[in-house]
Amino acid sequence: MHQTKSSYDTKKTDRTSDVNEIPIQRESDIRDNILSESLKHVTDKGWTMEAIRAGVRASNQPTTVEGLFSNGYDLVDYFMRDANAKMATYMSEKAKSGEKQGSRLLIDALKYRIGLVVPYANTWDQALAQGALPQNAMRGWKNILDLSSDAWHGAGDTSTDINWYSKRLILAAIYKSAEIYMLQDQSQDKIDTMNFLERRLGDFQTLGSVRNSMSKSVSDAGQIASGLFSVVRNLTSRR
Amino acid sequence: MSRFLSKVIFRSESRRFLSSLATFDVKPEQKTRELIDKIIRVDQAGELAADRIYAGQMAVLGHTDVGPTIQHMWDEEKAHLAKFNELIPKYKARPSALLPIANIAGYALGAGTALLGKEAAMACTVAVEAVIGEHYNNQLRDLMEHADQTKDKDLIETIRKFRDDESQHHDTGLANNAEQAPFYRNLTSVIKLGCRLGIYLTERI
Repeated sequence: MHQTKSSYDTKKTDRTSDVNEIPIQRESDIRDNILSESLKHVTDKGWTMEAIRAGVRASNQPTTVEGLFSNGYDLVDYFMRDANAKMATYMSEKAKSGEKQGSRLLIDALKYRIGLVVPYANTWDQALAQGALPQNAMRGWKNILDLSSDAWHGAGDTSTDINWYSKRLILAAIYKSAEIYMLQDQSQDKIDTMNFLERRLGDFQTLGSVRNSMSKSVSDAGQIASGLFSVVRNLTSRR
Repeated sequence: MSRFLSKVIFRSESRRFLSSLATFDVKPEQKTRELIDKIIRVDQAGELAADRIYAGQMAVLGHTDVGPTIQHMWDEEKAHLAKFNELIPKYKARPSALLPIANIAGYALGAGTALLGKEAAMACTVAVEAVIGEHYNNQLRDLMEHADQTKDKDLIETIRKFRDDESQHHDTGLANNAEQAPFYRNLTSVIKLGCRLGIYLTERI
């Protein structure tokens, strides 16, 4: 009865099978998974390390993993990158199915993008204030410029000279002003923000020059001012 | 002097060492994307500059007997520029912010050397094409090492073809008595230095 496994018997146990391997995850994937978990805790804990720690606990990782993150801004950075990627997919889907094109596609993609921020609107002024700090400013700028670059590429922009820069900068400025407007918008589902975005982009399309695309109406300027005020208040608060 | 400077600016070991210090968290796909972005940016700016150099030369020497030769080389450069303009949206590359400067500087160089005579114009062509040939070879080496051979085959083939075209222009320049230009050695060294500086700046800005 030779059923017992001898240690020299190499045929029974397949040591080279893939099933026994522990998959090696890239550090960036681990960080992204934890950050996406942490997003669920943002409404009560804000865009801070506390929310990231809650995310680490929720994804059953050892707490030492916290060392992968430097400050609460990592969460904002992840959220923006993820939202940009979603907007790019939205644009390529809509363009492929042929439903929308050109400027309509651009406007709707930006509305979609700002719609992704709307669930976090209560704490977004904290995120913007953190983004104004010098150590985080570079990343924040890069994300906004990536957003406007992705939006133009999705809309089929083929400019190859100085227009490349002016289009992106103008779109980034318009989007940023829409986010600030959103901070003080009390309407249902932020419909006022969507209309604001539509108006500003419409101005940009028809007039098409830098000077003219700055806000003309007094009430829009007032709304932007009150949104900026809440950003500044967050910057100077002692949290 | 120009060779010393070019060695300092382009010492590939120091470039890679410096870049590896700053990028311990960057994925390889990201590095390849940055490389391709940089390559397309430099090449588009370079072809624009070349196009303007020939425009400057034609403006002065268009009616002489080297006119048709310069026109032929100019047409090829226009085709190169069109190809890179097509590649920019395709690879989502950023065009250089120094394009207006490249435009003006190229025209000034072309017209300036043409005013010094036919041979000086040919010497300018020889100098520029020599630097560009070396530059394209460096890019091809980098692409062979880092880029995906199947997906980016178009880019690699394009650069290879353009390098061969530029090398032909270089030989045309030499065949048209470039070496008889006044101060040939100094003229070509200064122009080569200027080109290398232009490449260095455009890669970054």
